[in-house]
Amino acid sequence: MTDDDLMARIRAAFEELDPVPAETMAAARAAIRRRDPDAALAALVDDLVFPAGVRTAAPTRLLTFTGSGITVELEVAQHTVTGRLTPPTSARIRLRHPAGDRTAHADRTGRFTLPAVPPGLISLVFHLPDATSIVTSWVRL
Amino acid sequence: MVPIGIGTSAGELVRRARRGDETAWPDLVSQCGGLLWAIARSYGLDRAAADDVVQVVWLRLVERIDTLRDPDAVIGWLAVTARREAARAFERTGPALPVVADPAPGPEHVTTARATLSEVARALRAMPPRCRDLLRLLAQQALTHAEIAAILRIPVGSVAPTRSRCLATLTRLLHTAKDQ
Repeated sequence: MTDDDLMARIRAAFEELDPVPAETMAAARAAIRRRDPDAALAALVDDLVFPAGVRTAAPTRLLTFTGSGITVELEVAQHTVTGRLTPPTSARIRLRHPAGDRTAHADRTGRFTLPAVPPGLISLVFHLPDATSIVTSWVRL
Repeated sequence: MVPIGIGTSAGELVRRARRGDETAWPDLVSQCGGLLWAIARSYGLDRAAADDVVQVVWLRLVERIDTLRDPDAVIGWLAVTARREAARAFERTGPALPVVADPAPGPEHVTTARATLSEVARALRAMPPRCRDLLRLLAQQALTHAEIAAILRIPVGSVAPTRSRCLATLTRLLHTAKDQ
Protein backbone atom coordinates (compact mmCIF):
# COMPACT_ATOMS: atom_id res chain seq x y z
CA MET A 1 0.00 0.00 0.00
CA THR A 2 1.43 3.40 -0.92
CA ASP A 3 1.45 6.29 1.49
CA ASP A 4 -1.27 8.03 -0.54
CA ASP A 5 -3.49 4.95 -0.42
CA LEU A 6 -3.02 4.69 3.31
CA MET A 7 -3.82 8.39 3.79
CA ALA A 8 -6.98 8.00 1.70
CA ARG A 9 -8.00 5.03 3.88
CA ILE A 10 -7.31 7.04 7.04
CA ARG A 11 -9.48 9.86 5.72
CA ALA A 12 -12.29 7.41 4.94
CA ALA A 13 -11.92 5.81 8.39
CA PHE A 14 -12.47 9.15 10.08
CA GLU A 15 -15.61 9.60 8.03
CA GLU A 16 -16.83 6.44 9.80
CA LEU A 17 -15.49 7.28 13.25
CA ASP A 18 -16.41 10.93 13.50
CA PRO A 19 -18.45 12.05 10.49
CA VAL A 20 -19.14 15.72 9.90
CA PRO A 21 -22.75 16.14 11.08
CA ALA A 22 -25.22 16.57 8.23
CA GLU A 23 -26.56 19.73 9.95
CA THR A 24 -23.05 21.22 9.98
CA MET A 25 -22.74 20.70 6.24
CA ALA A 26 -26.28 21.99 5.62
CA ALA A 27 -25.59 25.16 7.64
CA ALA A 28 -22.33 25.66 5.73
CA ARG A 29 -24.13 25.37 2.38
CA ALA A 30 -26.78 27.83 3.58
CA ALA A 31 -24.17 30.38 4.75
CA ILE A 32 -23.75 31.77 1.21
CA ARG A 33 -27.29 33.18 1.41
CA ARG A 34 -25.84 35.70 3.89
CA ARG A 35 -23.55 37.13 1.23
CA ASP A 36 -24.11 40.83 0.69
CA PRO A 37 -21.62 42.02 -1.93
CA ASP A 38 -22.93 45.59 -1.77
CA ALA A 39 -22.23 46.07 1.94
CA ALA A 40 -18.84 47.13 3.27
CA LEU A 41 -17.50 45.02 6.11
CA ALA A 42 -16.98 46.42 9.60
CA ALA A 43 -14.69 43.85 11.20
CA LEU A 44 -14.56 43.01 14.89
CA VAL A 45 -11.63 44.83 16.50
CA ASP A 46 -12.49 44.56 20.19
CA ASP A 47 -14.51 42.22 22.37
CA LEU A 48 -14.41 43.01 26.09
CA VAL A 49 -16.44 41.58 28.94
CA PHE A 50 -16.98 43.52 32.15
CA PRO A 51 -18.25 41.59 35.15
CA ALA A 52 -21.20 42.98 37.10
CA GLY A 53 -19.92 45.62 39.47
CA VAL A 54 -19.71 49.30 40.14
CA ARG A 55 -20.18 50.39 36.57
CA THR A 56 -23.01 48.06 35.60
CA ALA A 57 -25.54 45.91 37.41
CA ALA A 58 -25.22 42.98 34.98
CA PRO A 59 -22.20 41.56 33.15
CA THR A 60 -21.68 43.71 30.07
CA ARG A 61 -19.95 42.92 26.83
CA LEU A 62 -18.55 45.67 24.63
CA LEU A 63 -17.98 44.88 20.98
CA THR A 64 -16.32 47.25 18.53
CA PHE A 65 -16.35 46.91 14.75
CA THR A 66 -14.64 49.20 12.28
CA GLY A 67 -14.47 49.50 8.53
CA SER A 68 -15.13 51.91 5.68
CA GLY A 69 -14.71 54.93 7.94
CA ILE A 70 -17.40 53.92 10.39
CA THR A 71 -17.24 52.49 13.90
CA VAL A 72 -20.01 50.35 15.35
CA GLU A 73 -20.01 49.93 19.11
CA LEU A 74 -22.34 47.42 20.75
CA GLU A 75 -23.05 47.00 24.42
CA VAL A 76 -24.71 43.74 25.34
CA ALA A 77 -26.27 43.25 28.75
CA GLN A 78 -29.01 40.80 29.65
CA HIS A 79 -29.85 40.09 26.01
CA THR A 80 -30.37 43.77 25.22
CA VAL A 81 -28.09 45.21 22.59
CA THR A 82 -27.58 48.96 22.59
CA GLY A 83 -25.35 50.51 20.02
CA ARG A 84 -23.84 53.59 18.51
CA LEU A 85 -22.55 54.52 15.08
CA THR A 86 -19.60 56.88 14.79
CA PRO A 87 -19.59 59.30 13.03
CA PRO A 88 -23.22 59.69 14.09
CA THR A 89 -25.73 58.88 11.40
CA SER A 90 -29.26 57.58 11.18
CA ALA A 91 -29.65 54.16 9.62
CA ARG A 92 -32.09 51.40 8.92
CA ILE A 93 -30.83 48.32 10.73
CA ARG A 94 -31.28 44.66 10.01
CA LEU A 95 -30.32 42.26 12.79
CA ARG A 96 -29.36 38.96 11.20
CA HIS A 97 -29.96 36.00 13.49
CA PRO A 98 -30.48 32.27 12.86
CA ALA A 99 -33.81 32.50 14.72
CA GLY A 100 -35.00 35.10 12.21
CA ASP A 101 -34.00 38.57 11.08
CA ARG A 102 -35.46 41.71 12.55
CA THR A 103 -35.28 45.43 11.82
CA ALA A 104 -34.61 48.56 13.87
CA HIS A 105 -33.56 52.19 13.43
CA ALA A 106 -30.61 54.27 14.53
CA ASP A 107 -31.53 57.88 15.35
CA ARG A 108 -29.62 60.95 14.13
CA THR A 109 -27.11 60.55 16.95
CA GLY A 110 -26.37 57.06 15.67
CA ARG A 111 -27.90 55.32 18.68
CA PHE A 112 -30.10 52.24 18.60
CA THR A 113 -31.51 49.53 20.86
CA LEU A 114 -32.36 45.91 20.14
CA PRO A 115 -34.18 44.31 23.05
CA ALA A 116 -34.43 40.58 23.81
CA VAL A 117 -31.87 39.24 21.36
CA PRO A 118 -31.66 35.46 21.88
CA PRO A 119 -28.21 33.85 22.12
CA GLY A 120 -26.73 32.88 18.79
CA LEU A 121 -24.65 34.16 15.90
CA ILE A 122 -25.57 37.70 14.95
CA SER A 123 -24.55 40.28 12.40
CA LEU A 124 -25.94 43.77 11.84
CA VAL A 125 -26.52 45.44 8.50
CA PHE A 126 -26.80 49.25 8.46
CA HIS A 127 -28.46 50.93 5.49
CA LEU A 128 -27.19 54.50 5.60
CA PRO A 129 -28.96 57.62 4.25
CA ASP A 130 -26.44 57.87 1.37
CA ALA A 131 -27.70 54.46 0.13
CA THR A 132 -24.51 52.64 1.09
CA SER A 133 -24.52 49.83 3.61
CA ILE A 134 -22.22 48.46 6.26
CA VAL A 135 -22.29 44.92 7.65
CA THR A 136 -20.63 43.77 10.84
CA SER A 137 -18.70 40.52 11.22
CA TRP A 138 -20.62 37.63 12.75
CA VAL A 139 -20.31 37.31 16.50
CA ARG A 140 -21.81 34.86 18.96
CA LEU A 141 -23.93 36.41 21.67
CA MET B 1 -10.47 9.38 -4.78
CA VAL B 2 -9.50 12.92 -5.71
CA PRO B 3 -7.28 14.32 -2.97
CA ILE B 4 -8.78 17.29 -1.20
CA GLY B 5 -7.44 20.56 -2.48
CA ILE B 6 -6.75 19.21 -5.95
CA GLY B 7 -9.83 18.48 -8.16
CA THR B 8 -11.50 21.74 -9.21
CA SER B 9 -9.35 24.20 -7.37
CA ALA B 10 -10.86 25.84 -4.34
CA GLY B 11 -9.66 29.19 -5.70
CA GLU B 12 -11.65 28.65 -8.88
CA LEU B 13 -14.74 27.79 -6.80
CA VAL B 14 -14.33 31.07 -4.89
CA ARG B 15 -14.12 33.01 -8.16
CA ARG B 16 -17.22 31.24 -9.47
CA ALA B 17 -19.12 31.90 -6.23
CA ARG B 18 -18.24 35.59 -6.53
CA ARG B 19 -19.75 35.64 -9.99
CA GLY B 20 -22.95 34.20 -8.54
CA ASP B 21 -22.48 30.61 -9.72
CA GLU B 22 -24.74 28.79 -7.27
CA THR B 23 -23.10 25.40 -7.67
CA ALA B 24 -19.65 26.66 -6.67
CA TRP B 25 -20.31 27.29 -2.98
CA PRO B 26 -21.75 23.83 -2.17
CA ASP B 27 -18.76 22.31 -4.00
CA LEU B 28 -16.39 24.38 -1.88
CA VAL B 29 -18.23 23.29 1.27
CA SER B 30 -17.97 19.64 0.22
CA GLN B 31 -14.29 20.03 -0.55
CA CYS B 32 -13.30 21.73 2.70
CA GLY B 33 -15.99 20.64 5.17
CA GLY B 34 -14.00 17.65 6.38
CA LEU B 35 -10.86 19.72 6.84
CA LEU B 36 -12.59 22.30 9.05
CA TRP B 37 -14.28 19.57 11.07
CA ALA B 38 -10.94 17.78 11.56
CA ILE B 39 -9.28 21.00 12.74
CA ALA B 40 -12.07 21.85 15.20
CA ARG B 41 -12.13 18.31 16.59
CA SER B 42 -8.34 18.24 16.90
CA TYR B 43 -8.63 21.13 19.34
CA GLY B 44 -10.51 18.83 21.68
CA LEU B 45 -13.89 20.42 21.08
CA ASP B 46 -17.00 18.30 21.42
CA ARG B 47 -19.29 17.93 18.41
CA ALA B 48 -21.59 20.82 19.37
CA ALA B 49 -18.68 23.23 19.90
CA ALA B 50 -16.99 22.01 16.72
CA ASP B 51 -20.21 22.63 14.79
CA ASP B 52 -20.27 26.15 16.14
CA VAL B 53 -16.68 26.81 15.06
CA VAL B 54 -17.26 25.44 11.58
CA GLN B 55 -20.39 27.59 11.19
CA VAL B 56 -18.52 30.75 12.15
CA VAL B 57 -15.66 29.97 9.77
CA TRP B 58 -18.02 29.61 6.79
CA LEU B 59 -19.81 32.85 7.69
CA ARG B 60 -16.42 34.58 7.92
CA LEU B 61 -15.61 33.38 4.44
CA VAL B 62 -18.97 34.60 3.15
CA GLU B 63 -18.32 38.06 4.60
CA ARG B 64 -14.85 38.14 2.99
CA ILE B 65 -15.50 36.27 -0.21
CA ASP B 66 -15.68 39.38 -2.39
CA THR B 67 -12.56 40.96 -0.94
CA LEU B 68 -10.32 37.94 -0.40
CA ARG B 69 -6.98 39.00 -1.89
CA ASP B 70 -5.87 35.60 -3.10
CA PRO B 71 -8.71 33.17 -3.83
CA ASP B 72 -6.13 30.46 -4.58
CA ALA B 73 -5.02 30.62 -0.94
CA VAL B 74 -8.55 30.03 0.34
CA ILE B 75 -7.83 26.64 1.90
CA GLY B 76 -5.00 28.12 3.96
CA TRP B 77 -7.28 31.03 4.89
CA LEU B 78 -10.00 28.62 6.03
CA ALA B 79 -7.48 26.58 8.04
CA VAL B 80 -6.07 29.65 9.80
CA THR B 81 -9.55 30.98 10.55
CA ALA B 82 -10.65 27.58 11.87
CA ARG B 83 -7.59 27.45 14.13
CA ARG B 84 -8.28 30.90 15.52
CA GLU B 85 -11.97 30.23 16.12
CA ALA B 86 -11.30 26.77 17.59
CA ALA B 87 -8.65 28.17 19.94
CA ARG B 88 -11.13 30.83 21.09
CA ALA B 89 -13.85 28.25 21.63
CA PHE B 90 -11.38 26.06 23.51
CA GLU B 91 -10.51 28.96 25.84
CA ARG B 92 -14.20 29.67 26.42
CA THR B 93 -14.99 26.07 27.34
CA GLY B 94 -12.79 26.39 30.40
CA PRO B 95 -9.39 25.19 31.58
CA ALA B 96 -7.47 23.14 29.07
CA LEU B 97 -7.95 19.42 29.36
CA PRO B 98 -4.83 17.33 29.89
CA VAL B 99 -3.09 16.99 26.56
CA VAL B 100 -2.32 13.31 27.02
CA ALA B 101 -5.90 12.32 27.72
CA ASP B 102 -8.28 12.04 24.79
CA PRO B 103 -9.54 15.62 24.78
CA ALA B 104 -12.68 15.12 22.77
CA PRO B 105 -15.41 12.78 23.99
CA GLY B 106 -13.75 10.62 21.40
CA PRO B 107 -14.74 9.18 18.06
CA GLU B 108 -15.58 5.88 19.77
CA HIS B 109 -18.54 7.46 21.52
CA VAL B 110 -20.02 8.46 18.24
CA THR B 111 -19.99 5.00 16.79
CA THR B 112 -20.26 2.71 19.79
CA ALA B 113 -23.47 1.38 18.35
CA ARG B 114 -21.94 0.69 14.96
CA ALA B 115 -21.02 -2.96 14.80
CA THR B 116 -18.94 -2.91 11.67
CA LEU B 117 -16.01 -0.61 11.30
CA SER B 118 -13.36 -0.81 8.65
CA GLU B 119 -10.03 -2.31 9.59
CA VAL B 120 -8.36 1.08 9.49
CA ALA B 121 -11.04 2.65 11.67
CA ARG B 122 -10.62 -0.10 14.28
CA ALA B 123 -6.86 0.34 14.22
CA LEU B 124 -7.15 4.13 14.58
CA ARG B 125 -9.45 3.70 17.51
CA ALA B 126 -6.82 1.60 19.25
CA MET B 127 -4.15 4.28 18.80
CA PRO B 128 -3.08 7.00 21.22
CA PRO B 129 -5.20 10.15 20.72
CA ARG B 130 -2.19 12.23 19.67
CA CYS B 131 -1.34 9.83 16.87
CA ARG B 132 -4.96 9.74 15.83
CA ASP B 133 -5.21 13.53 15.64
CA LEU B 134 -1.95 13.82 13.75
CA LEU B 135 -2.92 11.18 11.19
CA ARG B 136 -6.33 12.76 10.79
CA LEU B 137 -4.84 16.16 9.97
CA LEU B 138 -2.16 14.66 7.70
CA ALA B 139 -4.83 12.72 5.83
CA GLN B 140 -6.57 15.98 4.94
CA GLN B 141 -3.56 16.66 2.64
CA ALA B 142 -4.25 20.39 2.64
CA LEU B 143 -2.21 21.36 5.68
CA THR B 144 1.50 22.06 5.98
CA HIS B 145 3.50 20.55 8.82
CA ALA B 146 3.72 24.03 10.36
CA GLU B 147 -0.09 24.31 10.37
CA ILE B 148 -0.47 20.85 11.88
CA ALA B 149 2.11 21.67 14.57
CA ALA B 150 0.16 24.83 15.47
CA ILE B 151 -3.13 22.95 15.73
CA LEU B 152 -1.70 20.19 17.91
CA ARG B 153 0.57 22.55 19.85
CA ILE B 154 3.68 20.52 19.16
CA PRO B 155 7.05 21.62 17.75
CA VAL B 156 7.05 21.66 13.96
CA GLY B 157 10.19 19.50 13.94
CA SER B 158 8.35 16.70 15.67
CA VAL B 159 5.65 16.35 13.00
CA ALA B 160 7.71 14.27 10.55
CA PRO B 161 9.16 11.83 13.12
CA THR B 162 5.80 11.48 14.88
CA ARG B 163 4.16 10.85 11.51
CA SER B 164 6.61 7.98 10.80
CA ARG B 165 6.12 6.52 14.24
CA CYS B 166 2.32 6.74 14.06
CA LEU B 167 2.17 5.27 10.56
CA ALA B 168 4.41 2.41 11.72
CA THR B 169 2.06 1.79 14.67
CA LEU B 170 -0.96 1.87 12.36
CA THR B 171 0.65 -0.54 9.89
CA ARG B 172 1.58 -2.87 12.74
CA LEU B 173 -1.99 -2.79 14.09
CA LEU B 174 -3.34 -3.54 10.62
CA HIS B 175 -0.99 -6.53 10.26
CA THR B 176 -1.83 -7.80 13.73
CA ALA B 177 -5.53 -7.62 12.87
CA LYS B 178 -4.87 -9.65 9.71
CA ASP B 179 -2.92 -12.34 11.56
CA GLN B 180 -5.68 -12.96 14.06
